[in-house]
Amino acid sequence: MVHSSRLWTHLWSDFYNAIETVHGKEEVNIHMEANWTQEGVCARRAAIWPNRDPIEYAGGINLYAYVGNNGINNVDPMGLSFWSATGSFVKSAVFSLAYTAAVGVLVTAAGAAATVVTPVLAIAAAVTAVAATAYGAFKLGEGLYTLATGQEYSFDGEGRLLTEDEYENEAAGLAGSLVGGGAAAKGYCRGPEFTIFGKNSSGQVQRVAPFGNRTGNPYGEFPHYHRGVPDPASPGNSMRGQGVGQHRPYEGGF
Amino acid sequence: MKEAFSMLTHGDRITPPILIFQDDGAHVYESIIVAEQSHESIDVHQSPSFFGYGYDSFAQGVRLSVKEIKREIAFGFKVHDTGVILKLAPEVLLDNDPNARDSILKYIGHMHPAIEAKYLAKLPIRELLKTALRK
Repeated sequence: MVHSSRLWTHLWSDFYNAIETVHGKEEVNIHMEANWTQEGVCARRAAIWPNRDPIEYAGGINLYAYVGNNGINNVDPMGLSFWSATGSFVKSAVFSLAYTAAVGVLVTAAGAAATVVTPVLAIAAAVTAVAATAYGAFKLGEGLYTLATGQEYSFDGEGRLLTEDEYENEAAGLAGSLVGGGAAAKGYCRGPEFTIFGKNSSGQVQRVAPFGNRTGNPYGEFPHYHRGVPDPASPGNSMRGQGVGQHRPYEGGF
Repeated sequence: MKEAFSMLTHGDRITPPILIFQDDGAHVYESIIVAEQSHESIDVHQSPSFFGYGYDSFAQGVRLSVKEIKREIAFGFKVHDTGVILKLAPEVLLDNDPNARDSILKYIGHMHPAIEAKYLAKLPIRELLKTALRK
């Protein structure tokens, strides 16, 4: 992250003086202490950056990036906590959601392949899904072990002890994994459908069910989508056998 | 799942097979459960062109509707969901349905092409329905 230049020194000093005038010195000091002590690279009372960041612009040009562009509400006194914990949570949630969704797609694809394509594809997808599920379960167990013991998992039980920040990141990551994985799992349990592109020219709702749904329809159990094919001879209706009730691509073509 | 849905229906009063009008014409279902499972609640209450009504083998009017149900997902956890049920609809009268004849004729023409159109044109609407419901 960039820290100082002569220009920034002036800007920060002017800014500091301005808010000190408005809010009073004591209140400003509280905020400055919270926001300006990251890794000791800036002197809070002097309101200047005493030296240039050795990595220069490698960290980006945004001075507030370290608090997620919210210097008023977020603090990062050690230069580690805000993005590391929050980022860890978000990253794990997104990854876990995508991972669980991918496993679910493999499972449903296996079922679909067994039903409408070939058992060979079904076996391949099922084996992959089982392996992916086992790996996911292992990683979850590893995270729980780390959280319980405060040290990294290793086969010999001699894993490295985590620092406080690393432990916090690990906890945030595990929480993110549970949230993301839970969201995907909930999707598969409930099987919601999402409307896409509104309605077609026949006024039919077009939609996609990425997790399949649970109506009991044999094709509806698998990921599918619905769209009608407007019938030019009968405005407002679909062509025969091409209605929005078809579970594509299993029924009614693509 | 099948039991859950069948409990919501009036199975002893609707007599399959059932003909239901949809956005792509008439469809015939061999049982109440199949008719319910072939439709989704989002279609029944959102799509205006999705007719969702029809007749059973005694020409009684039936209509698809949406019902709130509780469904077990895993380990005893239940979620609120919506299911489709088929109900008798006394207000749906075959003799007064202006679209039924054309739709049923199209269905028969598609499913039973061997039957002559001239013969079908002479049949009353109830006989047409019986013909459509025939396997």
